[in-house]
Amino acid sequence: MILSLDLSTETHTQLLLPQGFDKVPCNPPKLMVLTDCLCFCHDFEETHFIIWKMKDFGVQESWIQLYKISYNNFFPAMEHKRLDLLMLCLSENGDTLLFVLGTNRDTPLFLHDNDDEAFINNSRDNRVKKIGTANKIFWSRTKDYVKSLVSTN
Amino acid sequence: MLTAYSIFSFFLPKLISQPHFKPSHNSIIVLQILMPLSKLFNTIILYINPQIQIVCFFLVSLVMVLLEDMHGSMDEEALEERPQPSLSAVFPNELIVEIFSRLSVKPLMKFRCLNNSFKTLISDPDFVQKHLKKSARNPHLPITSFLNSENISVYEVLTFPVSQLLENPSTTTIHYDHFIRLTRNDDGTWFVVGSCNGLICLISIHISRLCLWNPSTRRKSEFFLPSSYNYYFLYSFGYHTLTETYKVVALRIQKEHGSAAGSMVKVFSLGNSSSRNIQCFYVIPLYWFHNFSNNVVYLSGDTINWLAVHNYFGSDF
Repeated sequence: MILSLDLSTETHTQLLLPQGFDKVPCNPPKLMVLTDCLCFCHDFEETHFIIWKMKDFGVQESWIQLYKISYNNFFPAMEHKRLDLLMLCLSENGDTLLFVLGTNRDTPLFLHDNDDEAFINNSRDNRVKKIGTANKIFWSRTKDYVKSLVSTN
Repeated sequence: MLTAYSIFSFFLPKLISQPHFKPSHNSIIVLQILMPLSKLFNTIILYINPQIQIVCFFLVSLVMVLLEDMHGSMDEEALEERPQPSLSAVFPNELIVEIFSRLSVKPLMKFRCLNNSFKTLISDPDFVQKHLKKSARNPHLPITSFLNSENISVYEVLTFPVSQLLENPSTTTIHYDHFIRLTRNDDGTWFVVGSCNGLICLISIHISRLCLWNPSTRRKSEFFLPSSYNYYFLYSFGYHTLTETYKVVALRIQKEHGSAAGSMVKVFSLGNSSSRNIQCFYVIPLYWFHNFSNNVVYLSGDTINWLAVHNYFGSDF
């Protein structure tokens, strides 16, 4: 389930996850915000990962499946267990998804961020491209951000 | 998409009919040149990005005002009667707001310094909100990176546009802009807690203070955290629209004999630096130490959301 804290009343409520997600997966499920909607990503039988979007916040019936992507598309050589996936962005038209793959690790804070890699999935040709960067980037700490004039005071 | 052409074709006739707009001979000539130019623009704009279109339009507008200025200074008799030409005297305010709201923060920060009316407009909360809505269509990523500078390795937080990644995924170089880099604080390195409305909330490594940082305007504010906040909490960041307050929520899972015994939830309001404990969770959210706060998300609409799976607390718990 999802625990949702309302910042105006500072009280929390519980929201249900999409139907069909019932067993504990080996890879950690994740919450994220894509195109202003609450999304949920989880492992599917160690072969795919699935992304759900809650179209109307708080409405259980509004969960829709956005993506189902095979691990083979971007990680053919490795055993698919112990993958830590994080979705970063979805393009406005829904075609392009930016996600991060870290290796799921049991060690605490900050130790293994060097393994992070980022990918782009294009749903039109169903291809996954790895993002190459000249600088070392700690992808799994990345958040959504827009440029604004908003004051910090 | 509001193109330069539509601005030209829609606003120019409107502009000429404005009662306060008394065109001089010069500006009529300029307008006569601009009208056919707008058709040329229509062809060109198919190939250039919308922001450049706006900038082009803006430059043409500035040239127009300058021509007015030159004419004024040449015609000394008319100079006394003529009000000081300015962009706002030539263009309706709504048009300026419309153009400005489409510009990126960098040129706007420069316009702020040009004159008082621009400064007032760009600082206006309604304008800031309008600009934010348009800016949200061009998402950026704040990233933590690793930089070797003067043989000292330091963590840096930088931002860059997602479009840069989408256009060229295989070879992206993040250029270090030293002006938007947030350097280390006295307490060590900053870590990102969350982001909303273009502000990034960071926490110092010793959990002693918070920083609200706007990388685009390069402004930041720091807040000291009470000593009851520490490493054992999972931090998240959100915004309460009605009171215009930014809040940091800290969650701690208490364990006894290796299993979850309860939770503690604290809310720190950045507006008045107040802290209070709120009702604890009856369900224990997933708890991942190694990814600072990846399993909790802020959703516009004023909620912070955690994921919880029955009988599953994560391997670190």
